[in-house]
Amino acid sequence: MVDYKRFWHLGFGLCLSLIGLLTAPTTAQAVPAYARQTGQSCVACHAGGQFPELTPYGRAFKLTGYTYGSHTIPVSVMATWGYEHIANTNSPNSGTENFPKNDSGYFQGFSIFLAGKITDHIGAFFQYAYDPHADAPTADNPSWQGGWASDNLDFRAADRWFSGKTDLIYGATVNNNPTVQDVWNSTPAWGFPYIDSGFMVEPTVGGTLLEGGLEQQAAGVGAYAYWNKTLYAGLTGYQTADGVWSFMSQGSSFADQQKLKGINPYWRVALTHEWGPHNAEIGTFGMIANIYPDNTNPTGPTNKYTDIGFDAQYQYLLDPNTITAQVSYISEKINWYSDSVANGDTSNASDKVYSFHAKGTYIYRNKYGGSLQYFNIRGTSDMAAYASTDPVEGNLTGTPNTNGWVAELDWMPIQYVRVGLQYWYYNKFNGSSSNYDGNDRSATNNNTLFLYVWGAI
Amino acid sequence: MSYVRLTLALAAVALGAGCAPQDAPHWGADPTTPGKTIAMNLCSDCHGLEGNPVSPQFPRLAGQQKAYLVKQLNEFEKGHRADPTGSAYMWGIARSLTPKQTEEIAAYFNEQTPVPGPAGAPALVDQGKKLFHEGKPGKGVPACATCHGQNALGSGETPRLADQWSHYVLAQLDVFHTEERPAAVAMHAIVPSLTQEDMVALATYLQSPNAK
Repeated sequence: MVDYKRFWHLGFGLCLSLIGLLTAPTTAQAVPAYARQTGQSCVACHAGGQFPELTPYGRAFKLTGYTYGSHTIPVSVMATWGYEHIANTNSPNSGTENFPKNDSGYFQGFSIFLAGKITDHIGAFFQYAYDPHADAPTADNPSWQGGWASDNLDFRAADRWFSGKTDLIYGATVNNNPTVQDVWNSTPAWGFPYIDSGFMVEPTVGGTLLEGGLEQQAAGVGAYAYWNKTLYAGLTGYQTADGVWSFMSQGSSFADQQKLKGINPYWRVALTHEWGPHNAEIGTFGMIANIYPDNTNPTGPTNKYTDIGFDAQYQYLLDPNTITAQVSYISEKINWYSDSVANGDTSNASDKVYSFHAKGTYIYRNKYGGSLQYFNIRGTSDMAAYASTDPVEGNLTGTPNTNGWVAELDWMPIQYVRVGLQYWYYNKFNGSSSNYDGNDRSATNNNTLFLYVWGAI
Repeated sequence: MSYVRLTLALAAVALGAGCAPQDAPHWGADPTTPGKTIAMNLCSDCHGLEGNPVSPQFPRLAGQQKAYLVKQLNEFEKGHRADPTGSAYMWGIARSLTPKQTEEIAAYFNEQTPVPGPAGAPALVDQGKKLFHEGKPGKGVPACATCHGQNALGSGETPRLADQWSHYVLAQLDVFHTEERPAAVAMHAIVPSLTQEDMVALATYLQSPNAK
């Protein structure tokens, strides 16, 4: 009988050795297998080498189905290590369970990628991740439990057509996260910050549905076209990633996986322009999703999410300087299922959430970089849906408003390794700057310093 | 049922893309792919469909000497040309090409019509023009025109410089101070005698040297 546990432990150890105990991702960002396939450096596809931000060439590589280059062994491994410090862990009634990794360094996990061309027109980006903290300690199991799970998956078929001065790229995508198919970094799946500690204090409402609400929960099939490097349009339909699609939602239990009703459309339109060393994009995206309120009983009325987003991106790419900026705004309306108020699940028949992000980055010689982001999540108050007086994670006013800043300094000693120092500052958390949880905790108490090392081979 | 139809329709699109006629394959390191197809499908991403790139990060190839392009691709292929930006993009590409494809790509860009760059500040242009045509007598800098031609169009393995991005010319003059382009023997001997101001003037002039 095969001892799988021992196998994985061995693989785990080998990977650690290979990357010098450095690194691993909470999400997939840069893939050395692609560099081996094309024979090119990371900077060809990633702006200033800062994975996962794509250059115009990187966008072309993705849109043409990851097919540039030669067949190689399509495997990469990625890992991250982090150290976290939260500003105040001694607020009234809080416990160590609220800050499980504070003031400690920890291995975040690693990923295996199957990434590369399959034919001249078909290619893949498949990431599976091992998280050593997949399940929190319990009374029966006093230590963290690790687990494998699907991460971002994107399977593509694409072609390119020329006629005179017309250049048309078109293709199809099968993926498991709305916006993962996007090639600009102003949409959520590939948006800043590209990594975080994973153990920060989480607000009641972290964003809209499109900001991770369906990642590795849904399976989508879609088509797209990009005309003359000017106009991009795409449409994808998503359903629950179950049945034949369940390989896209590995790691989610039946009870944890959101259940979508039927096919739910995601759309994307973008205008782009390049001039000199500059390039810019402005666009819109959105989704209408019907989700059953009870994951374990996918029948009956649904919560209807309508997300409409607007985004823009600017890049200046000219050695030795890289400047990038992204802005996004998503407006979400949630029409709760018909009896939600009567059942006490929500106070309102519908709620709204608005999410705004603006970020700028400067990188010098593809090696030294800094980024600053402002974020603002706000929305309607709903006591039944959002309120609680739990210490630290509570929300006294039932309001989703959380805003603040993220600053980050990066150093890339070699192209496959990044060392980053990240700081989160909260102006407001769960609706208030002070006593947001009803236990006298302030928003700034959740400010978080995060040091990480991130690498891949 | 509607889901089934949608899935089938989208799958058909996917299959249609995946099974399209192989007249325009992507850059697939396939020795049977014509060089022109590679130029249009791959090189164009950075150098422009007709060799006139939008970004000064990438050199203009339109009208460039064919023999020069072949030589540079060979230098990239062998890893001899190692300037960071060039090698980051070009080593992998050059190594995937057959000699025939290299020749065809060079011919394709040689046949394209170059678009002059924007004219620079008149004083710098005049200074650069004088340097280009007269050199720095007595200081080891011959007239650039001696090799690159009176109109900077180049010849054989000597590159055309006319209409090239000033950013690119300047970057390469910096590279000639290093060992990253060992094949450019003459330039290694010349650049130590050029000041930064000289190089800026030359690059500015060459961006649009034949403007009326």
